[in-house]
Amino acid sequence: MIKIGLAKGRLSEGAIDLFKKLNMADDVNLKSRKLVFEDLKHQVTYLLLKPKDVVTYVESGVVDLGVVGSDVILESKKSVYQLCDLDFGKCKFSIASVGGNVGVLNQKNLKVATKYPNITGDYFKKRNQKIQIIPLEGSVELAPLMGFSDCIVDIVETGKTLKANNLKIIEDMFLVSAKLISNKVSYRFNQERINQIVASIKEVL
Amino acid sequence: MSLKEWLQEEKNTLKEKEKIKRTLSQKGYQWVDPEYLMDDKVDEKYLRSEHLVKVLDSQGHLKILRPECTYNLIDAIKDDWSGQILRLQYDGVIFERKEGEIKTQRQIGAELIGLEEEEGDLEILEIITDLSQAISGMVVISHSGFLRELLDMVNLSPEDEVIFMDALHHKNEDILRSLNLKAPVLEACLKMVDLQGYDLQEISELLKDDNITQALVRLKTINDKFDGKVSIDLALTTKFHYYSGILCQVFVKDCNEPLILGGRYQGLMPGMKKDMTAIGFALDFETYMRKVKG
Repeated sequence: MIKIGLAKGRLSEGAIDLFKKLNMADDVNLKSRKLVFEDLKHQVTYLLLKPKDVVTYVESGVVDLGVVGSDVILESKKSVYQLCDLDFGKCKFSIASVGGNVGVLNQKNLKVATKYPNITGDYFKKRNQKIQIIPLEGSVELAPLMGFSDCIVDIVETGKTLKANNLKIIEDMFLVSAKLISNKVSYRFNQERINQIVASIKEVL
Repeated sequence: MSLKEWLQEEKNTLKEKEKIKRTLSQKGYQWVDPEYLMDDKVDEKYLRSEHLVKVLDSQGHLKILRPECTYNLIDAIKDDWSGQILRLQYDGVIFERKEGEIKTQRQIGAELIGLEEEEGDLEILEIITDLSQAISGMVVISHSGFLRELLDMVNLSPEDEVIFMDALHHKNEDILRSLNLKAPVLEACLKMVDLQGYDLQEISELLKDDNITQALVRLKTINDKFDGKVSIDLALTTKFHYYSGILCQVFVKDCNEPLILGGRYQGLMPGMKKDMTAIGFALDFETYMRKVKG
């Protein structure tokens, strides 16, 4: 039985839509409150997990495969195989400031508020720029408005939240999308089956 | 666990340990006990510093608690070694700093020093495949010379080298594509991470480098010799940077880290004689026991 961890929310909907195209996951009903679905016909168990936990479950080998955003994989710094891009859940990482003031980027001791301290740290390290990271759990848009930070690093999908808070993108960092990941050892022991799933996914994408 | 159960478990552990040590002894491997402490001035090229456990000795000198046994074992013999073949085995605890804690692991390992490369590789790989069969392990080999040549070929900054190796190891096509590699090198790298497997000949033709071809031929020869008992993964990487030839790792189900790590090394440390080549392996004994117990 292959176990697949799915990030709860829009990504799990995208993933189940994709698996249904492969004639899998017939009995998975995301509207129910169940967290585990068994597809005995295809010998697959689906688990609904918090996005951050998907990578943890995959890395530890509790599940063999996972569907999660590349943002979560990068931030977690966990060691998993990235088998393929799933072509949904697309958005981008951007830097935004109040009124779109680009000048803040040249500021010494730039203060950056973010939910993604690892990604932010790595990005500015590559630019040889020292920054002060302000790690926040949510509503990062508030930080520059309150003078707590000079800018924010966050995922932007439509840009509506930024606009509503008088923030503008001053730099796009990179794209984010849903990925199929695998446990490194599980992959070796279930290579044939996993390759089969990946090949079918690539066919329908 | 009751005291009785614990004592029984310790008894079983000792029995298994003795079994492995006896097998190695029968093949001529003499037991040695490498030093626990290492000098703080170890070149970071050989041991990554971020996981090392450092302590102060009684004279206030900074020392490292060994993160593996091979380094100290070679250090102990390198000055007196004069070309003889040495078969050595050890059983010891190693130390690593992980998530703010000091982790220990008991290792049983063997080092074969001075025997000609081809013969030496086969002898150690035979021991490794025998050990891994007992626990249904999967033996995967690669060649560190191949990876080193590939790194020279891609000619990246030290930061991008880390990203490149990480992308290869994690089969991350997107990152490989973002590194502006030359077309044939990128194609070869994408084949290396391709899930459907790859033909070594194809990789060799794309990279067109004598040392790479030599490393791939060596891998193919070993693979043929072991007839399905080992598989090749060119993207296999290791945390120790001193390997110079065949690399080997054994994986077991439900265990994230390789159960056995091994490989050939030359120039392990400053002062190691140029003709002093060796191959060895270390087995994570606690995980081995968990697998034996099922």
